[in-house]
Amino acid sequence: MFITVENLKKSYLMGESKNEVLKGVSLTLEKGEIGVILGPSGSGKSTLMNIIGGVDHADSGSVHVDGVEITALDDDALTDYRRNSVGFVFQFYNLIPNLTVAENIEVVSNISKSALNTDTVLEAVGLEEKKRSFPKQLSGGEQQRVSIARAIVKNPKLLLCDEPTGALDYETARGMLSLLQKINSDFGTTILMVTHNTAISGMANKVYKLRDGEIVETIRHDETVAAERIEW
Amino acid sequence: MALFKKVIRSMLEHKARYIGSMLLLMISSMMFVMASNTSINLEKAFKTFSEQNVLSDAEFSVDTEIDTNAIGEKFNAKVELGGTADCEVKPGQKLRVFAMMNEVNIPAVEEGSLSGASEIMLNRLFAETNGYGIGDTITVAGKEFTVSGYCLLPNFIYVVESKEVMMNDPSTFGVGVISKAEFNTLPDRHYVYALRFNERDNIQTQETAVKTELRSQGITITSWQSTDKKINVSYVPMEVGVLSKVSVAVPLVMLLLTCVLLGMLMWRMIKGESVLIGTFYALGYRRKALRRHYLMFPLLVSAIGAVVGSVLGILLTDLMFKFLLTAFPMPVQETIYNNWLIVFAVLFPITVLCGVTLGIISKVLRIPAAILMKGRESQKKINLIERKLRLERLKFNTKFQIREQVRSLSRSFFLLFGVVVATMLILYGFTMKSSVDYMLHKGIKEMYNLKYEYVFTSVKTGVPPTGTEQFNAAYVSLVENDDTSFYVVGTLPDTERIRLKDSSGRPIKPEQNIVTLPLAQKLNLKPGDRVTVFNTEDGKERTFIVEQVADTYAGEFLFMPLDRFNTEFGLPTNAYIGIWSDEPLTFPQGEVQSTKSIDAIVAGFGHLIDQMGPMIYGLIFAAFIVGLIIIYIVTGLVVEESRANISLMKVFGYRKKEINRLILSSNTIIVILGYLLGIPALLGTVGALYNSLADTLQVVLPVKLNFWYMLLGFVIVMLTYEVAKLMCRKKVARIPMSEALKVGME
Ligand SMILES: Nc1ncnc2c1ncn2[C@@H]1O[C@H](COP(=O)(O)OP(=O)(O)OP(=O)(O)O)[C@@H](O)[C@H]1O
Ligand SMILES: [Mg+2]
Repeated sequence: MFITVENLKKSYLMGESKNEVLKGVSLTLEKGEIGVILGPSGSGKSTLMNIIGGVDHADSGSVHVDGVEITALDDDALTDYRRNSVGFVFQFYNLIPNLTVAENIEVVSNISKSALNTDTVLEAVGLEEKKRSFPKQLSGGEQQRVSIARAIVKNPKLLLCDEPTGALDYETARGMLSLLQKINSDFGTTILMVTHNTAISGMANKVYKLRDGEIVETIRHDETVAAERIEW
Repeated sequence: MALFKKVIRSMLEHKARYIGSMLLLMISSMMFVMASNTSINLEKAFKTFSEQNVLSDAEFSVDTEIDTNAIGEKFNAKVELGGTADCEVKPGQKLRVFAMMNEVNIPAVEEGSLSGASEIMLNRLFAETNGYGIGDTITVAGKEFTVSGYCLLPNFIYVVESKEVMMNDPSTFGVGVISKAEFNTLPDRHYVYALRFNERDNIQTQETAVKTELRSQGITITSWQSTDKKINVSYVPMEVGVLSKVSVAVPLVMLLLTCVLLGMLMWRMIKGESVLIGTFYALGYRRKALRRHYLMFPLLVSAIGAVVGSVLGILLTDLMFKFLLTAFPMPVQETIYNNWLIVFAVLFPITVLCGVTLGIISKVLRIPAAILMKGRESQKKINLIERKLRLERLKFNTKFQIREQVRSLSRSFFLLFGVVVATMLILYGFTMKSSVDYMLHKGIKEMYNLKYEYVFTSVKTGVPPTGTEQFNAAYVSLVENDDTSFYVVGTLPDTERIRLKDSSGRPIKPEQNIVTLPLAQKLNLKPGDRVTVFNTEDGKERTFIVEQVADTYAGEFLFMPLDRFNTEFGLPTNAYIGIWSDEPLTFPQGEVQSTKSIDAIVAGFGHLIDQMGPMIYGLIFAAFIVGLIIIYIVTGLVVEESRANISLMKVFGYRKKEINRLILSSNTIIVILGYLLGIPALLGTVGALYNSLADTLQVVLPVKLNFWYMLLGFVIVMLTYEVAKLMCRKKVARIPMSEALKVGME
């Protein structure tokens, strides 16, 4: 098993009361699979992703990624884990506005041991023409593709995407999803994606439905749908 | 009221910036108030002293006795015969005894009473250093005197034995005043007439008229000392001049820095709050109200900074003035303050700062509300330089840091400007020290191959004593400007005593007319130029052709072969006025007019350098503080404006060190550039300062900066930078990763 999450709990103190965001979440994902976490706003999707990505700490329970117990790592080891193993794609792209497209990608390849060539990833996302442009000069879809290029340039074992299509229109969103699917098949990258769009779940090998910090349903797809054929 | 609370809250949120601005302004106002008021006080003390105690315009000696009343009447002047005698008190301890004057150069009594029969007044520092209290006895020239009091002499304010000594050692040299009757019994006395014109304009012309009159009566003037060239007096107006220059220059630069800083901060704040401003518009606030609101920031900063700075300046004025009075003892006055200057010191920065920020505020507020509401994102553009930069080939870190710099040109400019100022402050003292060092070791020691110089009272002819070498000299003034004077020196053409070099370092012999570099620079002379001068002794005009320029800083001279000199000045070919020797010599009483010891000059400069120590450290400390404030604020701004990037980098797995290197060190290029630009800026400024002091000091100091001091300055600047970065590290560490995860960028 590539990812194993066991009985993960996380709560925030809101003054006197305790807000339990994750109430014992468990899930698994095989290497090379695409997993989707579905759930309404506030159900704890981002919190779960952040713990798996090593940017947040759980209260109890464990997360294993590729044999390493993430939840037991100290801050320095977590930094190394994020640096070497995880790629992040965010809902609002989070590109650095005063760096060019190529430079935004180099932000990551700069610290990565086994980075791919910047031009290669730009070609993979179809943006080799725009490498000298600044984020402001790109459309939302193009910006998200830069952000995907940036996430895959270090050739991560795990790609975490939090609402990657949340800010995009229908057509662009579909293009983005097929790009992720292509990356998954070309590079064998394991992808965990968060969305509240149920239609997307068709392209996933595994779908976990999250509600109020609990997995309420797990769906396995033996056959996945190509992103181009998804409609919503 | 609600808006006012917001001002206070914003200021508290960014304490460092506003406190930093206030500090800069405080230093500015403090320096201004202190330097200008000290200069006023010193000037007033000097003016009062010289008027009440009738400071002479010139002191001179002649070969016979003259009718002081006749001269006084003819030239509408006061003339009085007095004199000085250098007497030994103890071995190695010299007292310059002045005859008590009643009309000109009247001594002031600081404590005790005027000296009567068998009584003497001493200068306080000498008396206290050597344990002579009032009522004690002191043996001067073999005679016992009772100390009747402490005196202050208008014509000997800065107590120093000679121009060469520069800094006095009160344990070896002091001043005394005794009655004329007592004076006339002293052995080595030297009579001097003191002259003060009642008409206070055109002193120089009046002096020349007196000289011409005396000469026309067949009187030989053996010495003529204009008071404005007499170091014991002229140091005081020079200090006044330096202080008033400093009081304008330094505060102005600091004020400019504060303006740039605060203007930049306001620009950023208002831009950052544009959504809020838009909302305020929508809520019905008027532009005027918002303008008033934002004006509160510069108003508070400048009011607090200027008031506190001015108060500190007032307190320091007293200290500084008292300190200067110990160096230049004069009758103590109430410390006065020019209220208008203080009001100016408070109002000027407030006006300038509020004016500058008002411009910026109005510019932002003119943007329509609808655009403002859209927020910062819609306004923030990639500037032209950012777009045009081609950095592909560079390393990522370099690229990133360059981008960080061009992202905000105002920020980079402010940092650059600030580092230039800090560098100048640090290196200022070092440059002075280097210059004096250079002059001592490269100038004086290299040029003079002799230990003693003796100048006789009258021209001699024939062969000088064995082991010595003869020379002749005349003190001449420019015909078109009699304020500019220098020595023409005739030496043996093959002399080994004076060593001159040309600009490429080759030795040259005074076989031609050679001017030294400081003189050439001052008069703008090149080989082939003519210089027309008159001899201050006889007023006769002569024109010399400059044949060569010697690269030496040891003084302002025109050298020529001795026989040519003697022909030019109408003297016998074997005439000479002085000799150079390696051994100390003794001469019969009255034969020698002056003695100069090269070692004493070197030691004098050495003392001067020692005295400069505290000033240099003080400047370095001030520079460190100013530099720290500036670099800290800018680095803080960089961190603030890179919050999202820092957060993102943390998510990507950047280590602390790597983030610090990218973000905090992005200013390194600017800091280094600022340092490098600071050096020429400083050397230019110091050169201008030296030139303006050349007339008083009678030497042009070479502008030099020793390589090691340059390096030390660099180390200090970089150290300041490192400290500022260290202080900002916590800020970087505190930025959470969630910032990148939650919101969209910008
Ligand atoms: N730092 C925090 N402090 C307190 N509560 C928090 C914090 N972060 C998240 N929460 C709470 O945890 C809950 C889950 O948040 P989370 O961001 O994981 O939801 P989500 O499923 O990603 O929602 P969305 O679809 O809107 O992104 C929410 O109720 C939120 O208010
Ligand atoms: Mg979320």
